[in-house]
Amino acid sequence: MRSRRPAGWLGGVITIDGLVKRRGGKEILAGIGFEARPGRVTGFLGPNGAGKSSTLRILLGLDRAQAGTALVDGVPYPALPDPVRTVGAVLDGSGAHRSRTGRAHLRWVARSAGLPPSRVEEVLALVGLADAARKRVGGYSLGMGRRLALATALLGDPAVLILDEPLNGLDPEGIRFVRTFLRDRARSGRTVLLSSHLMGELAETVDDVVVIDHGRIVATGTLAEVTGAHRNLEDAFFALTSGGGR
Amino acid sequence: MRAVTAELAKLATLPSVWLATLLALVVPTGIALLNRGVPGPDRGYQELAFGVMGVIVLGVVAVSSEYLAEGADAGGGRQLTTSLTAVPSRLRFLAAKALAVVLVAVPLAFAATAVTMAVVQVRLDLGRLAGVVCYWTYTALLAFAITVLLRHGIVPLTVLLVNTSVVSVTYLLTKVTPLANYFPDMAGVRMFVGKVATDVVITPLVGLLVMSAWVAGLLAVAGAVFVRRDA
Amino acid sequence: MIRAELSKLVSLPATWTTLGWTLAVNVLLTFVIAVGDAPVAYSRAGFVVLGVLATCSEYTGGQIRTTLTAMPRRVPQLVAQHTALAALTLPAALVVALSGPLITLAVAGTPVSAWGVAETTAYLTLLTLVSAAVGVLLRHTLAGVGLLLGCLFVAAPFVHEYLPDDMVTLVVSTPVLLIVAALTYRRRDA
Repeated sequence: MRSRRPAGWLGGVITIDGLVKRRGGKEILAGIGFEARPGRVTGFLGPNGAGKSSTLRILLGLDRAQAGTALVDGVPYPALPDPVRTVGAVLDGSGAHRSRTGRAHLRWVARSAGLPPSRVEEVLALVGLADAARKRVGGYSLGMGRRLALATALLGDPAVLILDEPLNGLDPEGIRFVRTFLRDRARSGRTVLLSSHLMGELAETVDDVVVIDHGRIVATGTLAEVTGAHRNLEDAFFALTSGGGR
Repeated sequence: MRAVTAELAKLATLPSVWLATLLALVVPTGIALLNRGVPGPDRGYQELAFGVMGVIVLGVVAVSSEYLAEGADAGGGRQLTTSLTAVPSRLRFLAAKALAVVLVAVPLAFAATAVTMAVVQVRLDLGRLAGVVCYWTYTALLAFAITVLLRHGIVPLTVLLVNTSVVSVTYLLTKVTPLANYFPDMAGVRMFVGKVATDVVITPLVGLLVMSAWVAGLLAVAGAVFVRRDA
Repeated sequence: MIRAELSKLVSLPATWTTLGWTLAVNVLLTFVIAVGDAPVAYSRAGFVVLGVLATCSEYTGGQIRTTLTAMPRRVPQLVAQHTALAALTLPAALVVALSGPLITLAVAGTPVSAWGVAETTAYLTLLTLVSAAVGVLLRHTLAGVGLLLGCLFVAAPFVHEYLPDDMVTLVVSTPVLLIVAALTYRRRDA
């Protein structure tokens, strides 16, 4: 299926514009906008509760925004002709029912996109879950659940990868794996958008940075631009969010 | 004692417990309103026998809420872990929880009886009031014990709710064997319902003893299993 | 999409446990208390549980996110889910509906009424779909099971005189509830 795409351009531009989300009278997103481009790893940074997850959930059509648009290649996610092959998403947890086995979980997702069962075995091997494929998801460790979520996202070999706090719950080996993996995805011309509140872990991985605080974008640009005169990304982050992280 | 107040606080902050409270008051009065015009000696009490739905829900959710894996994190965190870290003695934890259920069920039974009797305009008989309170509390504890054994609410909720039907399964079983009269619900209702359509006569006192034995037995088994098994 | 939904249902152990117990209870009740299809009045509870589980299981472990990222068009996804559920339920309902009359035939020699079996099968299938729709609306297994069983077993006998026949009520309420569920599902945050 990769051959159907023109060489060098896989698509996958994420455009977010003027997103507003209110929940229970509280404004969670106050009209935010940014862009994530192919071939780059975009880090979406902000303290807990800044609105990162809400933005990603709206982008994926899981939550509804009161105003604004969140588009993939100019189209809202639910209108994509082939969502599993276009976008892969890793949100918190495993995204699987606890009483199903890991393999059964991947099988149904594969079926929904018309992918062959062999693809399930490929992604299981890719994330190192082949041995645990027959185990119920309820018996997985936190790290294994995260790997299963990553495997699910990779099923369709998508042009865009969206990850919410991808390093949470991973051991050092897992963190290293995810970092190298994401860099490779970007190098092959794909779009990677990841959210995080861990600055130190990210500096080596991201190309572009979007900083969000209290539902507003406070900085966007390349890693160098956002870091600016500060010693490192972490210092820049605290200056931008006035230390509001805790 | 602190464990009991903690359990009461848990119950009070559980939306399904408030729903159970509402059901406990609405179901028997609702049945009484719809069932108007049959002024037998069991008017009102009959409705309270069918209206136990609320305390069943109470007993079930008090336990099932501990075992519910709350979505988000893949680790499948369950409240029980926190509970048993706070009150490490399993028996003390279970006893505190059961006591909290009793402390909710008893006033609920009083209130439901009062409302239902007001609706049907029957003068309350103190002995039978005690019977209703006892039956409701025991039913909550039965639901509680079965849910502890199964660690999940669906089966006890399904079985017990189906059995509150007007023609209950246990009642049908009495047609097959008279022994079925000694099921907890069949024996328990004798504490306050005079006319039960079977041949076996059980006095209120015997009914109380039989149902007490069931509740004590199931709680003992539940306790024994709960103490031994991995949380 | 329907195949994906079917594979979801089939790989859920709870589906098989529920169906197995429902059949077992139905057979047992037929032997013990009644003949013909009377035990279905009780064993239909199993189909209620099945329907509620089918949709509420989405909300365990955040599977709903995976479902809606894989199949983001919500109404088609919901239709696929209910179609898959109906496809799974129909044969199961037929087996349960047949079990009572067949046992009666073997024990007492009463002939099996094909029309009766068909009606029971249809009733159980529709009941499962209604339960699934209620599951979508409530997103909570226990609440869904409690509400439906409360209506069926506690309230229904007392409001019976105000309602048309069971089957008619069900035929009317199934599409209504499905549409309400679909509209709600489409609008709300996952």
